[in-house]
Amino acid sequence: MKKTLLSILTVFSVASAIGQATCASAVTVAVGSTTTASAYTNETGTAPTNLCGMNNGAGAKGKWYKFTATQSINMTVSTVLPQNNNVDTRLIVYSGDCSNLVCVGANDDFNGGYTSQVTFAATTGTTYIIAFDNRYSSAGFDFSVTEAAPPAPDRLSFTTQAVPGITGGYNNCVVDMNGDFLDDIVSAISTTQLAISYQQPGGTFTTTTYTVANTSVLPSWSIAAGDYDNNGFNDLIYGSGSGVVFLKANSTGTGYTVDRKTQSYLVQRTNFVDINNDGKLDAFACDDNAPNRYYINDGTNMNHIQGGIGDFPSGGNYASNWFDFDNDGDIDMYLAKCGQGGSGVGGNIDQLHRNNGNGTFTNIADAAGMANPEQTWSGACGDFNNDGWMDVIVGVNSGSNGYTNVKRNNGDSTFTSVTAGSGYDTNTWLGREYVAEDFDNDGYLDVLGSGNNIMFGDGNFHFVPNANTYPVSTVDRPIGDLNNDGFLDIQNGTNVLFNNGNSNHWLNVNLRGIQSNRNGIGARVEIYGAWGKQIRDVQSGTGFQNMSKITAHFGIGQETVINQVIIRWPSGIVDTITNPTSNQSLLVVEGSTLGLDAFSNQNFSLYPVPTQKTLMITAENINFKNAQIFDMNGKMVRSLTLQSSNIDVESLAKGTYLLLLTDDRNQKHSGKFIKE
Amino acid sequence: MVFAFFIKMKNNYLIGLLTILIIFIFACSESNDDDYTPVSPVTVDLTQVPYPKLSDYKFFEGEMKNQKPSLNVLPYEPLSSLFSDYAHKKRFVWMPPGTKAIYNSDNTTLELPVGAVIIKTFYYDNVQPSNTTKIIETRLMIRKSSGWIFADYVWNDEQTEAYFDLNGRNIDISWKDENNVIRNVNYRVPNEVQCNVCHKYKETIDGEYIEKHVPIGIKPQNLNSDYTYGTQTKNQLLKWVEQGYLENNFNLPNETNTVVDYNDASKPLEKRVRSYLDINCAHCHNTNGHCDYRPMRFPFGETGGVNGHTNMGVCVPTEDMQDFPPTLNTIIKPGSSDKSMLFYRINTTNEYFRMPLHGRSLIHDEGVALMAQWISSLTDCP
Repeated sequence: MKKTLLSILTVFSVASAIGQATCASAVTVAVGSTTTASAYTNETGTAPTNLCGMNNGAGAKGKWYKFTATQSINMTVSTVLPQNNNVDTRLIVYSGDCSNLVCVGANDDFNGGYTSQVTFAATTGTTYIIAFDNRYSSAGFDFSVTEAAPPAPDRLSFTTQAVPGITGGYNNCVVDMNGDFLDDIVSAISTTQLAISYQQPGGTFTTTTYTVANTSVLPSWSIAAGDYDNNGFNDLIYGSGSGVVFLKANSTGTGYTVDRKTQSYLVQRTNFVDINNDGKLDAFACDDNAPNRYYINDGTNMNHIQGGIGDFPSGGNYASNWFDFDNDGDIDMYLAKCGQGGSGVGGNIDQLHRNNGNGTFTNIADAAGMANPEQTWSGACGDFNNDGWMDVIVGVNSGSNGYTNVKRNNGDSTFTSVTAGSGYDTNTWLGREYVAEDFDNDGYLDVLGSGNNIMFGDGNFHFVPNANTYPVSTVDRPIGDLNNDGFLDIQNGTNVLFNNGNSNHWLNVNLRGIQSNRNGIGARVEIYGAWGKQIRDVQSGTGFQNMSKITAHFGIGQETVINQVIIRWPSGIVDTITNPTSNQSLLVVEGSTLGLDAFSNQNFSLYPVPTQKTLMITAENINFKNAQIFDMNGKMVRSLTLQSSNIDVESLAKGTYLLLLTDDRNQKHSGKFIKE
Repeated sequence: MVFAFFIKMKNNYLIGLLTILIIFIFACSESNDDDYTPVSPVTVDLTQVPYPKLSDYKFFEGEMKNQKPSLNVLPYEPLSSLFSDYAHKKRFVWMPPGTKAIYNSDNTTLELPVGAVIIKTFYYDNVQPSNTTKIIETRLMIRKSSGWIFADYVWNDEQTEAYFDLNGRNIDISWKDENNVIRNVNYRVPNEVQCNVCHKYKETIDGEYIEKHVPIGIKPQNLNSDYTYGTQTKNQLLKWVEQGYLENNFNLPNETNTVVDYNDASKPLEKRVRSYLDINCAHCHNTNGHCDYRPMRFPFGETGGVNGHTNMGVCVPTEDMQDFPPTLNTIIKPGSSDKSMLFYRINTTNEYFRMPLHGRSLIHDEGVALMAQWISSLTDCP
């Protein structure tokens, strides 16, 4: 008797399971309904094998349902129901058919719980297949299929598109590699291979794979690019868990030589930057566990030095961000720090290194109000309120010493926290990468930070996220203009999020240094118009680990007239471009705009033009101390202390020269003259 | 000194003969040959250390590779030991005559006197191709008056000497493990900074940040176990007292305050896990450690109480989510090791994700299995 009952029960449960046992026999459910799915215990349903990105392995058993959309509307399939008592379900929604299941969405643990929920945009007439598996629980559960609210409109949208050619596990570098000022995509494949996907004028990419000598390490912690031999092609530095390696481009940018440095240490942010301002890029590497390292370029070798720029004994150095915070014309450094000792005393205290003007640096974070205790892996640095001073948004990767801290540069070498009311005061997102760019080209810097979102700035330290998150990686997310349309795009693995843009206008400024380093890294770019003034400092290596474009990118909103662009080069030379058109990429060669006429400069004049023997300088209210004369290749041909306002130039060869004058307040002035 | 040499070597006939000869010379130069006090040959001149060679300390007698400790060089073994890519270890402690350590509490490092040295040798057995024992390195911590310093000695291929080197290096080793499986490791000899990461301990004195170095293994909770010293088996802490190495003013830790050997399946699962986390993870994840800004607190003394599970990360959100799937948003998710961030971190060799950061490049299969068993056994959030 007992046995018979058991048999009957078994037959019954098998019969009840048959309905939803396979994709082909999926049970139709109604929109607006809640369905009870029995426990898997005595079932034999086929488990889904296409897990649509869920990576914890397949279940043993599955359940299949379906419905056909009768209108194009957002739909939600959910086990997030109170009667489920947080049962551990796993849910996948497909379109297509059983022989060709197309992923629509998948979810395991929704919003911190164990239940699941997928919301997607349904299309009228399309049949959607719903699959569950018992990967984590064989208990029964209820699920609902309901209409969802339409998505909130995006402030700015991106279209995700695969870019063939992107490869390898390191997708963290977008920068021009072949000297055409179009951003390319670098993929470090292995210790002997490097692929570069070159952006073509039509917006397509052509990929070349280079075989290189064994680099030993890969850019597992960071990457940076810069032309440290000034040959017109960017070179690379990989930062790894055991030191750095340089990859130097040959004279045609078609091959790379490898210089693996022997120092083994846990590298964090790397940069190319001209630390000693000799016209040759040096490299900087944050050390996680000891004082920072840098590699000074003597023209032949990159020479390792440790000490002098961030010397906390046990490190905690996560990101170095190089810009001119005090507008004195030389490059300073904000050091994002984390860990090592808790609030108040430890290695988590941020540093601000002021350039003493001679290649040495002094940490003035205490006096500047930048000794921030937040546990930060990078900060977003830029002029968020367009007052001509670079501000810092201190990002956080742990809440243990406070959340994101918005610091306004007061213009007097101090910073004030203006987090209250900024939109960051209610934001507890954590992350590694914080980068300032103008993504919507409205003329105000935004922050690509944590929370898979962009915080859009309004020019007055107020930030709002997009209504929907973006499908960006939280770690590998280099930024560049990858279709040359003036709107910044974001790489995400083998895809690029192409910015769909808007009607705003823009200007890209590319630099070619002559006296300064070829990239113009460290230059200040200013643009003037109806908005007043906007500034960018040209950098290599922003955020925590990615290399983003070197180009200075500006949005100017609905304005079209740009009155002036001023480039303040690290050499001290100042170029001025008047009335450039908007919506273009402007290339400025160092010194190219310096006039040859006697009265070209507002501060001083040079005559006669041309000159044969003596160059005479006249100026009002300026006392010049020193002069340097460069030929048009950037080579310094004369350096002298001025005894009078005349300079003997008789011995110079015929040609055009650039004159760089330093006054008694250490301000620099530049002009051009012709020697006959 | 010569007499000590005689005593230790008396079983060796040839050396015995030699020794008799030496004794003869000795006897001719000294008259009081009845009243010898054995003297340790060990020499640790704090103004000279670290010495260039391991043999300079005279910690071992006979062939150094046999690691036979000299007089007053005391072997020890913690109950629960750090995983170091399956390397085997021998550990010793030495203290200057007349000095001894202070016992502060069950779960704090014994306070060793100035001049003390902790010696730890890393080696593999059955190294290929000839199934030989190969010693890689001997790490020292030396207690100077200013604090602990590190010294590391890397052994030569002949296994006759080890040379001071704190620059770190990688050495490829292929060996046959206990299950007769050939395994390979790119073994990491640490550099000084890497030593510091695990051994540092932070203090604030008058608002000033002070970084100290401390030994990790020699806590009473780890040494409260029997060890066989030649023919004598004795509780290690009591042996240290007998040796004159530890002040005799404490009670042995009780069972609650003593870790267990995490490999011992007869011990309670939770205690094995707590012991594992203590010795493998707690040096960074504690209030004064390298990674104190993350919420975990792994010292044994902090994982047993009412906050124990929270300190171990049970149902605590992952802070640094990177691009991990949302299912890894918890450090320990009861019942699901593959939804637990801690498990993910110890079960990968990817240097970008793996924990511990240093000292491990292989997966510790037994440790991972232990953690999986424990996470499966959990049902509730604290």
